[in-house]
Amino acid sequence: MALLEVRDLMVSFATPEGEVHAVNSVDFDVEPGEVMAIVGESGSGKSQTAMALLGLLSENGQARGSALFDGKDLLKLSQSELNQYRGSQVAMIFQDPMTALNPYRTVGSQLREVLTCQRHMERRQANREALEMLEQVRITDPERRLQQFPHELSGGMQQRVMIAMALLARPRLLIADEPTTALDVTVQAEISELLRDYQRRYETAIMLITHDLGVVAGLCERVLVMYGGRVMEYGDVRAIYHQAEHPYTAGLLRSVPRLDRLDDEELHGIPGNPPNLLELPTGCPFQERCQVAIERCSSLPSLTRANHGGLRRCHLEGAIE
Amino acid sequence: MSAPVLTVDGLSVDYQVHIGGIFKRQHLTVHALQDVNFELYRGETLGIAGESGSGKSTLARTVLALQPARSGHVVWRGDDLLAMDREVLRAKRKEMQMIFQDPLGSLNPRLSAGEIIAEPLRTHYPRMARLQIHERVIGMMKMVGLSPEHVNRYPHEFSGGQCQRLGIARALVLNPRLLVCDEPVSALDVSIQAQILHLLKDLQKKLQLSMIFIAHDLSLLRYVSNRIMVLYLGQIMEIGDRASLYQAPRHPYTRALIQSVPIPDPERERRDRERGHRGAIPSPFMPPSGCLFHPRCPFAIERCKIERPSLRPVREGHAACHRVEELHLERDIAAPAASGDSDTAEA
Repeated sequence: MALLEVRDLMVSFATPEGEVHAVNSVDFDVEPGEVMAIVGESGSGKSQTAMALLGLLSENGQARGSALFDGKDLLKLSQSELNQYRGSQVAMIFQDPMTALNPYRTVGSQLREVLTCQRHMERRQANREALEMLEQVRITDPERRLQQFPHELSGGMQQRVMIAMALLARPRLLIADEPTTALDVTVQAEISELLRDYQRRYETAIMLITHDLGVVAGLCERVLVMYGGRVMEYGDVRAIYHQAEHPYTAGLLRSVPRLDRLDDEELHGIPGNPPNLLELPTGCPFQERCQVAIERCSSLPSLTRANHGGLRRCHLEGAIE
Repeated sequence: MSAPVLTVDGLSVDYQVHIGGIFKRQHLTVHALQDVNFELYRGETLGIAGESGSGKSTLARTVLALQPARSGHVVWRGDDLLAMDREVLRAKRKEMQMIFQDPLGSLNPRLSAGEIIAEPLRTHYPRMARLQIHERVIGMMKMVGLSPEHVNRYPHEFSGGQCQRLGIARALVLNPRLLVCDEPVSALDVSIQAQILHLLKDLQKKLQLSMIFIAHDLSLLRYVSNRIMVLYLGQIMEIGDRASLYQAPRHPYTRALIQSVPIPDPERERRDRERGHRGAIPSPFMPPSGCLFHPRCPFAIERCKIERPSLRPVREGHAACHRVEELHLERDIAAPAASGDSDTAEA
């Protein structure tokens, strides 16, 4: 049974310009211990999908559909019921660690709080566990770090502390929203490896939200590609990277600068602008930027079985060259 | 070859930092740039790669004389900008413009697109006629691929890529000769980056601009640069011709930067690729002894801990490494052998 079963997820926001549909009938599963990715660019709805699962949408946002975690629908829980899941069952890490860490409290006190609150540990034992976790996320000089405040650490260190904090509660699902985007490349590679090691050791399921297809390639088994609030393609990472069947996925893969193909002198991209959620066209949200669009694309294609075994939302048949 | 338009000679920049309270106040000096030398030619693009604390943004600011230097010269078409009278400098600045990382944040939210592009003209040519300004603004919008109908729109009504086009139009309206681009596409969506990069390349060719293009890693620089400079903690680690730097990096840090960029190929990303470095970037307050990269370098020897290597000539460039003659650095993300076994690439 899937750890998380998301069905027909809709997220909308009431704005002065009208109702904005950020996420439209999204379905996906996260299996226990798997690493899956939600990939998309601005306006794809990838972050709002995650926020909806944890009840973190802004005031004017509303989520519909269902998200069964272990059989319980996260979308129907009250705040206090959700608090029993947040952190202990489902933890989240963010792109900017400073927004998630309390600037007024030491690293140690924030880490210990997770253990004393979620796992009802005594202070001394909590301290020991916190220290061990800092070692596990490869923080140098961990004893001194416990006494320090977040601003005294580098960006990479802060990200590690946030990961340590998320993992201390031993969540079954870790939602990581662009965890490496703000970091230097040499640090990025280390954080990716850290997540991979931890996932292997504790079989924690990870839902990675990112725009970086390179990071996905190294970390994830399955990938969900979103555009304009809808799922465009879904399936096995290797299969999709080998043979994408949606023009958007193919375009996104082509847009990544590659240092392994030095013979290709040209950086490719996708023409046009990211979708404006207030003025989405009827039909396929990608049609305006799609170079193989046909007349039929003004009606929304349904998700159908792809040759790679996953799903695709496109009227055209077969792989995209 | 003709004379360089820009010569940076022995440039060093320090920052004084004060930490602590009233009693235990400490004054620290950070060497943001140390003895940086390079030349830039007409129509050439120099790519500068550096991670946080490398001094890349300090370099951009000092080249434009927005930041004082401890020592060294920034010679722009024969004149040292760092020794120049303020009024003369102001006039010279017309020739040098900058494009910033944050497309929306670098535009005044209260000005329309047209006013944003016109502002440099109004500042430097206060007597220019309104009609002439308007024509120039419309011309610039067309040139950067913005629809002239949007001249009265405000920045927040544009997408990130369009805002960056606006920033480019503003930078080019004064007909500069030098364009400094500080991470101009890193805040944009991946699918949009190529558009802006192509635009910059086209405009550079058309206008014969010299460009300094700053990036936090080496992934994008390959598509825009003629030569590349790799900075680490304020020093040049390697500078050289683009093709040879990517094919055969001569400094271990350059190689580490290449190896760290993830590539969208699951087979390769999953085999435990040697990333070519360990540990974190040291604090600029306490730079390591000897070679700045030695604590993280897999090839470091005793000498590297003691003696700081100077830049020495290598094929098509320079590298600051004691072992540059003996090391033959292999990239292990090069194209796989024809046999199809990608695991043999290291051999």
